Amino acid sequence: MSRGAACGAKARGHFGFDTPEGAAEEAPVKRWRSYSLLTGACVLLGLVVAFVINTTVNPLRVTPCPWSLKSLEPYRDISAQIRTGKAGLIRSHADWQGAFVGSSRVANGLDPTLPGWQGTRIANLGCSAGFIYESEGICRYAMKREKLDFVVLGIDPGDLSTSFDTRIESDYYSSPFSDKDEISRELRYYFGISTLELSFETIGRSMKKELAQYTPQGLRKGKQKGARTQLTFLRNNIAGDAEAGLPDDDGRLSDLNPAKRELLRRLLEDLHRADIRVLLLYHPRHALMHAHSEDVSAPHVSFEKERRALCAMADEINRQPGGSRQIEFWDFNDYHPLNCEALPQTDGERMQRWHDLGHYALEVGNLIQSRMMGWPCRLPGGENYGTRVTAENLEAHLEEIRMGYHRYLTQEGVRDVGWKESLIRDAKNKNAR
Amino acid sequence: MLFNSYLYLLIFLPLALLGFAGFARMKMRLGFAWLVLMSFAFYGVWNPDPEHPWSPFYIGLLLASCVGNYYFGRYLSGHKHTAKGKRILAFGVTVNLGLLGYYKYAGFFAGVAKALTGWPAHVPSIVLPLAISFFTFLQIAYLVDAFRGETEEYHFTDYLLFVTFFPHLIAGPLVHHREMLPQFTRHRDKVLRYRDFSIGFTILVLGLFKKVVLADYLARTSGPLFDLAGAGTRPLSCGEAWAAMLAYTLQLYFDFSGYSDMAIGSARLFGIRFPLNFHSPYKADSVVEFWRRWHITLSRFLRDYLYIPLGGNRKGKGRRYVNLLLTMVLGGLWHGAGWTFLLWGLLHGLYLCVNHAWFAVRKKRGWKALPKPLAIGLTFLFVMIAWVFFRAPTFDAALAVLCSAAGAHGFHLWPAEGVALVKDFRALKPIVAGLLIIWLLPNTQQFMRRYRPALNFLELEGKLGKRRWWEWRPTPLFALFTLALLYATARDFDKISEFIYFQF
Repeated sequence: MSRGAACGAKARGHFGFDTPEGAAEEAPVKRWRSYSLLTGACVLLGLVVAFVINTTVNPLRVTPCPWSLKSLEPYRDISAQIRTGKAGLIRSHADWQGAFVGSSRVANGLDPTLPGWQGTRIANLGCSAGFIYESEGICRYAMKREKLDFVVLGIDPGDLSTSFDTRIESDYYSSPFSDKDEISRELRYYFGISTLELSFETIGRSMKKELAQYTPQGLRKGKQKGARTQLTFLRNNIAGDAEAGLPDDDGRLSDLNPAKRELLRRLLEDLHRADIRVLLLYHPRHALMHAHSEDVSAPHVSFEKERRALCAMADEINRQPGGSRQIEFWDFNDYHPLNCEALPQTDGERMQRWHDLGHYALEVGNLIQSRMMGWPCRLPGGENYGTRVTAENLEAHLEEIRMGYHRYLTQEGVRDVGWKESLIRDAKNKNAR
Repeated sequence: MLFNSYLYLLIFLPLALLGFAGFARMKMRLGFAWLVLMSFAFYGVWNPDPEHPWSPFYIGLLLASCVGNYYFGRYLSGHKHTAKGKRILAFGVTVNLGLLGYYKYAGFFAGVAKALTGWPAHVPSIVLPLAISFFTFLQIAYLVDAFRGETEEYHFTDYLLFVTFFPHLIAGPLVHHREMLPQFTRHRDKVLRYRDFSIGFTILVLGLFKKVVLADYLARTSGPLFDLAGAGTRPLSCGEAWAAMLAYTLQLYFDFSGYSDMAIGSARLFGIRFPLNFHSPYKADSVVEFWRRWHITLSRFLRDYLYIPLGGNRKGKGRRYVNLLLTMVLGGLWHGAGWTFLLWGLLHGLYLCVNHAWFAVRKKRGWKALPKPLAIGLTFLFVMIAWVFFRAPTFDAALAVLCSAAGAHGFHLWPAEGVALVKDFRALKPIVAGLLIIWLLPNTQQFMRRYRPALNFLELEGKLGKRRWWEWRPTPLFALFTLALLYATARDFDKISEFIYFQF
C-alpha cells in the first residue's frame, strides 16, 4: 500500500484476472480423483468408527445408548473434561435424589456414598475451580432433569466478593451445562476424535483394572501427583503471592458482587419454591490462610459481609411462601481446632485434615456431612464442628469467630503465623533488592 | 457459524456442497441461488445480541445493504463520470459509511463527547452487526468502480453471492467484484471437480490446523497474561510480558491467516478462487514490506480507495507522509472504535513514514541495506510492540505490558508456582514452535504453489520454477499428511473459539 501509486501497474495486477489453471501445474484427473476419494473415504470411515466406539464406550457418559457398555462404569474418567463428565452423570441417570454442587472442595471432599445416606442416589457435581456462576448453571441443569429431593450447595469464602467468572477458564462453555453451540457439541460427543481418544483411554484402564480418578458418583479420589511435599507447596504459594504483591484479601476491603449475589438469591428462591431441601455450606479454610499477627489487637471476622449476606438471604427466602422446607445455612469457616491444625514441621510430614490451606481432607468432608445431616460424628472432637447460622444466632456466631481468631493468633497459631510472615518478609526483601 | 466447528464441517459444508452440485446441474444460477441461501443461513445462525432473542433484523440489514448498493451501482454505471453520478456516489458512500459509523462508532464518539462536555448523559449501547465492516467496504469499492466505469451489468443473484458468499462474509478476505463476479460467469461449465475438492480440502485443513492447534494453544498464554495486565492485580514479570507479546503476535497471525486459509479452502471446494490475504508477514524485512504481506486485501483497499484518492505520493513528500499517517489511523479505527486501535494505526503510520524516510536517506547516501536477519528481527520487534496496543483492553494495560517488558519491575523471568498464571514451560513451548514455523517453514500458498491456491499468488512469488520436495501434490503421501494434520486438529477440537477478526 505504502508505495501507492508508484506501484500502480503492480496494483492493477491484484485485480488482473487470470485463467483458472493458467501457469499452474497439471496432474492427470485420475490423481485428483484418487486424492479426493482417499481423503474423503478416510474422513467418512473415521466418523463411522468414532461413532461406533464413542457410543459403545460412552467415556464421558454423555452419549448413553442401549448398546453402551455398563461394565466400563468404574473406568470412565472425567478429569479431562470435568464439566462435561458431571453433566454426563445427569444425562446417563434419571434417578438422582440429591446433588452436591460447588467447587473442588465439594468435588474432593463430599462423598455421596457415606453410609449415613443409606443408599440415597446422590451425584457429586462439584467442579474444580467452579464458582457461583458455574454452580448456578449446574444446579439448574440438574433441577431441570432430575427429581431432586435436596441439594448441598457449597460456597467458597471470597467467591461472593469478586466478579471472577470461572466459566471462561474451564470447560463449562463446551459442556452441556452451557446452551452455546449445542449442535457442534453433540456432534463432538458422537463423532469427535477427542472423545474417541477418551474412549481408548477408558478401554485401556478397564483392561488394566485401573479405576478412574472420579467415582461413578462424581467424587474425586485421585492420587496426589508430583514429588513436592506439602510444606514445599505451602511455602511456594505463600512466598509466590508475596513476591507478586498479591494482597491477602479476606473480605475486609471488598464489597459483595451484586451480580453473583442476585444470581445466588434467585437460585435459592427457585430451589425453595420447588420444595427442594437446600443445605448452604460455607466451606472451611485453614486458620492460617488469612492470619496476620498485626490483627491481634483488633481481630476481625474474615468475609463478614458474605456471611451476613448468606444468612440474610436464607432468612428472607425461608419467610417467603411457596416452599415448605427451610434453607439451612451452615458455616464451617471458623477457628475450630480442626481448622487450626498445626503445619507440618518437616518435609516428610503432612497435615492430617488438610491438603493445603484451602482444601480439607475427605474425613473433614465426611464430618461436615454428618454435622449437617445430624448423624453421629466419627471424627474425634468433631461434635461441635460448624454452626447452623440463623438471624437469631448470627451475631453470637460472628463474635465467636472473632474470639477464635484472637485465640489462634495468641495460642495455637503463633508458630505457624510467624513462619508465614517470615516467608512474606523474605519475599518482599527479595523484591526490594 | 464458525469454520472451526463440527456444525460447519460435518453438516453445513457438506449440505452446501451437495445442494450446489444438485442445483447447479439443473442450472448454474440455481446453484448460486442455493449458495446465497446457505450464506444467509450461515450469517443468520448468529445472534449478535445474546442478551435478546434471535431476530431476523440483522439478516434484513445485510439484505437491504446488498439491494441498495446493487441498484446504486447500476445507476452509477449508467452515469459514470457525470456530475449527477458523482452526487449519487457521494450519497451512496455516505449512506454506507453512515451505517457503519452508527453501528461501530456512535457509542465511541458519544463516550468521547460525554467525557469532554458531559453530553450526552446516556451513552447508547449499540450492538455491532457481524461483518458490517467487511460488507460495507466491499460494496463501497463496488460503487466507486461503478462510477469509474469499471463494473459490468451483473446479475442480481451473482451480486448477492459476491457480497454474501459465506467463506468470506464474516472476516474476509475483502474480495473485489472484478475478481469474483467474472468467476461466477466463467463457472458455467463446471460444478464440483476433484481438482478443486483436493486443493480446497487441503487448504481448509491447513487453516484449521493453524487456528485450532497453533493459535488456540498460543491464546492460552497470551489471553491470561493480557487479562492480568488489564485487571492490574499484579504487574507482569519481565518474562511474562515478553511471553504475552510474543504469544499474541504469533496467535494473531495463525488465527487470522488460518481463518483466511479456511475461507480460501472452503471457496475452492466450490471452484471459486479467493485472493491471497497473508504471505509470511513476519518474514518481512521492513514495515513497508510487512504491509504487502499482512491482510493484503485490506491493504489494497486502503491503498486504492483511501491513500491514492488522498493524493498518494503524487503531491510531494510532506503530503505523502500525512496521507500515510491518515490512512493508517483510519485503518486502525476500522478495526475497532477505541483509542488503542487508533494508537495502533498511528504507530504503523509512523513506522511507515520512518521506513520511507530511511529508504530515502539510504538511497541518497548510498548506504547498504541492513543485514536481512537484523532487518527482519527489527521489523518483527516493532510490529510486536504495536500489537500490544491492538490487544490490550486499555491504554494503561498496554503501557503496563511494555513497561514490564522493558524491565520496569525488574528482570525477573517467571513468578513462583502458585502465582504464575501460565507455567513457564507451557508458555515457552508454543512460542518457540510458532517462531520456528513463521521463520523457517513455507506458508500455505507456498506449500500449495504448484496448483494456484489463490489469486494473485504468482505476482508475489514469481514463476513456478523447479518443483521442491515439500511442495504439495495430489499423491497418497500428501493425502496422509493432510489426514494427519486433520487428526491433530480434531484432537484439540473440544473448545470452540471465535476468530479474533470476528469482532471487527
